[in-house]
Amino acid sequence: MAFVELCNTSNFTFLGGGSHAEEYARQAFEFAMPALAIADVNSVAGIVRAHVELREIARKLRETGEEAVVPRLLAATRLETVDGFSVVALPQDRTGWGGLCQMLTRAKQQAGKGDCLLRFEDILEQATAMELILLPPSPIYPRGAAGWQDRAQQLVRRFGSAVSVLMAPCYDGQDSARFDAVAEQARRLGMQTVASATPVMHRGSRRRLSDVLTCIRESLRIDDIGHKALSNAERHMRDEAAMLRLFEGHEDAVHRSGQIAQRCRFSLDELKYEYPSEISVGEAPQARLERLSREGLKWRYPEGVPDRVARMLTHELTLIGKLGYAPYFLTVHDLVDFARSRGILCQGRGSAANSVACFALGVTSVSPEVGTMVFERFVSEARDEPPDIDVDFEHERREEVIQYIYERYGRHRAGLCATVVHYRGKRAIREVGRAMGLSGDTISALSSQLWGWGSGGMPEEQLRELGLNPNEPRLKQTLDLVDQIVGFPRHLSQHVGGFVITEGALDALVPIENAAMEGRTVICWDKDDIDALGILKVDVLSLGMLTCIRKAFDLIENHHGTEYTLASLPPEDPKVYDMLCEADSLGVFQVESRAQMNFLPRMRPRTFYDLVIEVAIIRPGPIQGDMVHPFIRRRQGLEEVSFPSDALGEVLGKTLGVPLFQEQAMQIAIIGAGFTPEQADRLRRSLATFKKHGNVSEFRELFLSGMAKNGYDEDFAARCFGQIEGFGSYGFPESHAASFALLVYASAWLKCHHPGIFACALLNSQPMGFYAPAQIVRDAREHGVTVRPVCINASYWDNVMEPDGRGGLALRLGFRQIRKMSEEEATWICSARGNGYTQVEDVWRRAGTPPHVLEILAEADAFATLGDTRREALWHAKAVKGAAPLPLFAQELDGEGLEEPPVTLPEMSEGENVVEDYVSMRLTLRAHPMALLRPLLTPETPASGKPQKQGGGR
Amino acid sequence: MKLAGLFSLMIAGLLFAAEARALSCLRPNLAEAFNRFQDSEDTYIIALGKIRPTGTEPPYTEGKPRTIPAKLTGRFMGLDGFGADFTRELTIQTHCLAHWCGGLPATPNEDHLMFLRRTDAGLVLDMQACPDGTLSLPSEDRIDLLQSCLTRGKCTESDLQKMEDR
Repeated sequence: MAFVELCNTSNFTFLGGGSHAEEYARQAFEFAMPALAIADVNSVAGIVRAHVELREIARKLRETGEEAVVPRLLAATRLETVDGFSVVALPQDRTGWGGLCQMLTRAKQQAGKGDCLLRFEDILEQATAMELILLPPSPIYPRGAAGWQDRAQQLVRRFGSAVSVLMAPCYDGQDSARFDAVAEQARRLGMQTVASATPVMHRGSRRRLSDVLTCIRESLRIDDIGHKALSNAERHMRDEAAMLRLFEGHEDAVHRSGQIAQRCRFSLDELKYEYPSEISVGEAPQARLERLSREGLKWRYPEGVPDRVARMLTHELTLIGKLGYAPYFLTVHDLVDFARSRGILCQGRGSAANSVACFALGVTSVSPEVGTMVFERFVSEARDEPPDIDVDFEHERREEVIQYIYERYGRHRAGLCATVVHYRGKRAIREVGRAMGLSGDTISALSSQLWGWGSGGMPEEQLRELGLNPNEPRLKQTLDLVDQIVGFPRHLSQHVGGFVITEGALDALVPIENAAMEGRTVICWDKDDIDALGILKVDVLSLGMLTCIRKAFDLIENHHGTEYTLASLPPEDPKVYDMLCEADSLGVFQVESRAQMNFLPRMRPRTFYDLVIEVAIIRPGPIQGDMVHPFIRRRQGLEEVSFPSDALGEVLGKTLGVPLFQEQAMQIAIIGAGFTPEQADRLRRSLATFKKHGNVSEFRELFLSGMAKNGYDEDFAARCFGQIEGFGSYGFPESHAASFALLVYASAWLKCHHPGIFACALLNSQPMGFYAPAQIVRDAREHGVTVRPVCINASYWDNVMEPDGRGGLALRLGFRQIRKMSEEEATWICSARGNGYTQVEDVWRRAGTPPHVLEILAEADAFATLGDTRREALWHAKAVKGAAPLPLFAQELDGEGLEEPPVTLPEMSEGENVVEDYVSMRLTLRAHPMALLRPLLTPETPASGKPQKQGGGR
Repeated sequence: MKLAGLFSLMIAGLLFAAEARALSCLRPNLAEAFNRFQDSEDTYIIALGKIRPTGTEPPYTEGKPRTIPAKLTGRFMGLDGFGADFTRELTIQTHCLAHWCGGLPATPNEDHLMFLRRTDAGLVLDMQACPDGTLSLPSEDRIDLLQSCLTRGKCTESDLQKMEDR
């Protein structure tokens, strides 16, 4: 039986393994190994990578018609108990896999993030339907062997021939004796031996990196690594011939690995994802989706559903039915429905989010009339995987949705995806540099040149500019190792909101572990892994602007009695576009950055679709791909709009011949370069993960030759591919851009028509956006909003709108603007305020507010309404002693005339007040700080010269 | 205990004026308030929602109670949880203790948990000089605790303690 390596340790044994799981998979293919197993310590996080790599190898072979053995991936993990007992476990079938996942889940959930409290008893109880390969203590120096033998015997008694013992070389000249001893021990215990090279790297060339990983793990410098270093470069993957040479006399142990592999029939492809059944509520999913969608359309179009929209829905539902995605749409609908029942604003985006079905289900508010998107592009038959819908919720209330998911589906059926944190630039330089003993200065200098760091390392001139000698061996070695470590997984973190929800127990599908955040659980696979396995993920994301818009809608309803939703705002309001054309967009979603403000007057948006483009174009992808200038020149009529062909004209027509959206890039590949939809989809995926793996080049060749074949000139083809590359993970799909554009329009509409309410909502949603409260307040005042200061008798925790006495509304700053003020104290001050406080001491006496809080309020000038200046209020606050009032004595002392003599405190200048305002609240309603310096800077201008705008100029 | 309406539970008892335990107001303990309202002869309903005055707020005259018309948007607590959302008119009745008088609820845009007195003229929110029948931004824990008091008909000593702790 052919040899199979069953004990590969990948770099998902963090800071342990020296090679990627994919590298082992490729190496096994090169060795023509029939199978391989990735056995990381108490983890199965890396095995999907190897699985996907092998699938890709098989696909390429199919495409080229070559015949070769593609190794089978065996699921495995190396179980390590808290007291050091080790065993490699390989599930034989689906039951074994479920048991392994549940064993790991229990052990991980008892421990903190990243730890695993596995006991020997757990293995003894739960390791059914698994092959177990025991790692014996050294038979040459058998310390603690007696305890190990007891445990081995227990396992043999329980699991019989499924238990083997590992025979692995140490390359120390004693391997022959070691193998004999292990074989004898196995015979005594009634077990078979199985050979493995126990690789920690796929090739010996990773030895130095392995030592550096050891140094990082142990916080050592390479010079002090001592016996912890690998003693040689032998612990790499070996082919059968090499193994037979090594294990001369024990060849049966080598062959037994193949027998074990044959008994392990489980494949990750067997992991059939089942949608949760709750979402159907007794109906067939497709029937329910059709019913809800048609009802939804009536709700969206109370005056009659347009024929075109009805036709589009029918078409979409047919496609959804054909692909069996109805449960997915229903799951998203369930979450959105919950959010709506709680008054939580949400907006869907992602590949399928802007379909008519999602519009009807309330997942998105972008009308299907917008854009020219074709549903197939997002729900593609070529992609045998669920469509992607991300839903943004108000950032302050997303937790309610998350807890709803846990409550409705149970923690055993729902968990967040992991995000694999990889080594990248700075971290790689810092940690490798430290391990290699570079000085802090050198590490900082190298980090500062990160942007010059290409795939071939840092250019020599750049190193010389830093004062470093590029030929210095230690530095050269370090840079080489940094290159190698980039892309290595460092640890698992929780995905921002990708939930996996299953019908059965999630922990029988994949191990679940605790996240750092209390009450959260994560699975060990990231979004690419679960994508590859066809598992449903719903992204429950948070967006500050949704909080702001909901708060603004509430304020409008309260003060003006008009109820708005994202879908019911008056569309295509020219005043809104006028405002945006003037770059008056502070606080407006997505278009408030300097770059966007600069672009708005040139773009001059006049329609909703212009906003879709606006959102998509000011992104690193289009900017790096040099699409901005051609687009703007064409839009301004300075350059003729031309298309390289009629076919591409159809794709690029709406963006004036310049590709701006990810979908267009895919369409160019299909129409221009003759890609199949499946190839285009793989190109999209490789673009998305391009930064991580850099595997776009294979498509470049295909693209260029395809374009040439279809008669496009080489220069144009190269430019197109450059633009497609530019998208990388930074390009926007049109559907995302349309969803965001709706929020741009909504926030711009609010700012245009209700600037006070918009500013108030924006302040109450902080921290979010680009601008600090001072700038938001200044901008509001420049738009004619009356802003009133924090007042002990009129303010609440939140900023509020109050009657301005002239029939309008004024923005009253809330206690939340004051630094160090707590919400609890502020709310109680308001609760106990009753008919109002009359003096500083009153707040202390009536609300029991501690003196230090009174001082905070005094420093914020919150007592001005009582006639106290900042200093006077502070003087009174400082006079208050004791955490709580002693009323009886206070009354008596008052009566006995022990009042303090009146004092006259020096008045603060305007400048001092401005400074104190900033210290206390980071904003002021007094003069702009520069206004105070104006007479000094321009002495010829009289101080009382030109009247200034309230709050100063921009 | 009597049930009135679809979602509401009425609590009978006597309304106490705010106790002048000290001259500064104590933060309301909802469990204690529950028992007090339960023993009252008036009928009370527990509600969770936002309150906004409607129309112009009448001016304050020192030591004189005020009647302020308002609108409540929220839900009533029943024996099996909260009912459906509603909006209805109510009256805020302020009460005075010497020159200290009750005012409006603390956060106009956020939820309050409150005990509403049922009268022939409609629902009344009594705002004492020291507020004892409303709590702004109540935590889920506190709401759950009050729900269990309602189910049992009484808050226990341990509920009182837990309400203090949360």
